Order: sequence, then C-alpha cells, then structure tokens
Amino acid sequence: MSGFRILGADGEEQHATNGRVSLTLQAGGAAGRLRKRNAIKKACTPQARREQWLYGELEGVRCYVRDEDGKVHIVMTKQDLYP
Amino acid sequence: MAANVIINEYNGIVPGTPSDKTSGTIRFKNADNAAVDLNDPLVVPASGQEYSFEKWLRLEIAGGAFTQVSNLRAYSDGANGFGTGVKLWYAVTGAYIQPVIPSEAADPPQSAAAGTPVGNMADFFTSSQGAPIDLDGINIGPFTDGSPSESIGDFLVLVMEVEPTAGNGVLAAETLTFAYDEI
Repeated sequence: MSGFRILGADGEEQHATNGRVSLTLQAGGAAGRLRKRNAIKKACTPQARREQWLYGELEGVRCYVRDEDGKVHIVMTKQDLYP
Repeated sequence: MAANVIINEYNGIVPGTPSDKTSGTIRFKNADNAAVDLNDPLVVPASGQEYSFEKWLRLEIAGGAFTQVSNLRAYSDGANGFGTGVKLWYAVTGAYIQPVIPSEAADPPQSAAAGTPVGNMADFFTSSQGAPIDLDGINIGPFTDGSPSESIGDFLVLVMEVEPTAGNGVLAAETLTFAYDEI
C-alpha cells in the first residue's frame, strides 16, 4: 500500500487517500489542513523503517489516521502526536 | 511518489559529501569519520569520562515528488538502553562546524553547537515522542526544493560519553526516530 495523497489547499476542502482509507476535511473557511506525518524509525540502523500517518487539523483539533495493513487506527486529539 | 528524505552524517573541515546513514550505522568513536569499523574505539576510562567525536546529522530531501516538507523533529524512546556508564548527549545548531571531541574537563559535554563559544549539551534520552527535538527552529521550513537534493533544517549533534562503570565491547543500537510533515 502506497502512502497517502493529499488533494486541495489549506483552508479549503481537502481530501486524502491511500487507496484504502480516506479522510476529507471541510474547513468551511476556518483554519484547517491535511498533512502526512512521516517517521524514520530505528533510524541509522539496518532495521530502519518508514511509517506514515495522515492527520487533519481543524481549529486545533486533530484527527490522526494510521493504516496498518488494513487495520485502521483513528485518534482525535488536540495533542501533537508523532509516530 | 513522496519526498525521499534521508539522514546524512557530515565529517571533516567543511561539509563535503555526506554519508547517507538512513539505514546505516552511526559508530561513535575517537575519529571524525563515518566508517563503521573497530578502529579508534572509545576507551573506558579509569576515572572521569571519555567523549566521542561529535556526530553531525542532518536531513536531506533527495528528490521525489512533493509540495513541501516541514516540522522536522527527532526523538529517542525516552530510556537509555546503552547500559551503565554510557550516555548520549545532543545539541542543535543551524550551521556546520568541524566535529571535535568535547573537552573532558566538562561534564556534561560542551559543544559549539550548543552555544558560543560552547554550551552544555542535553541528555538525548530526555527527548521522546511527547517531547521531540525541534530540528527546524533555526533553519525554518517549509522546504520546497528537493531537486536534485536539498539539505533541510538544523544539524543534530550527538556525543557519546563513557564512564568508568561502563562495560567493554560494541553496544547494541539505540532507538532514534526522525519525523517530518509533508504535503
């Protein structure tokens, strides 16, 4: 499964999908954005691996989406979370 | 295709061609090079402490299709797994300086990356997912070039400390994570 692809501009309607999971953000003129949050875990070792979350943020509330081989985890929070 | 973000190690007087260490080993040693070998090892001291040469790391966008990369961070797992008598220190700076061994008269180690002329480095294991190290507070993003490559954000400078209570031998790797946002 490839990474997420984000369409649309910040503050407007945005849509992101990885072909299996999608997230739509309807900012309605408010401060909103979609981002891919990437991590290189176990960096600088032969076991290094990449992980990607998607998050949407609307007026300080964030919705994090993680697709783990079809098992989808969604977290809503005001916290800044990292993989 | 996403941004191809890699992790580089820099050595020498000027930041020449760096070594891609994304999935390679960083060997803390008594020499300023990126070689992963048993030459110039850290020696367990009889008293005081021994410091390694600084390791200067920086992220690079090595191509790929993307709009922007921002919010660069690094963090540990929050627990020192190197064992008794071994510590890891860090500093963040925006401009490259030739790596040195910090003065062993100071504990914690001091680095030009932490202040002018030098400042105390911080315990790397105080960083975590909940309290990551800011790697774009000086060289501020978003970063939008990446063609053919673009070094991005700040340098993460690491130093290993070995104390008399440390054991001998090559240590198991510790957990280091780099994170960034992308659209």
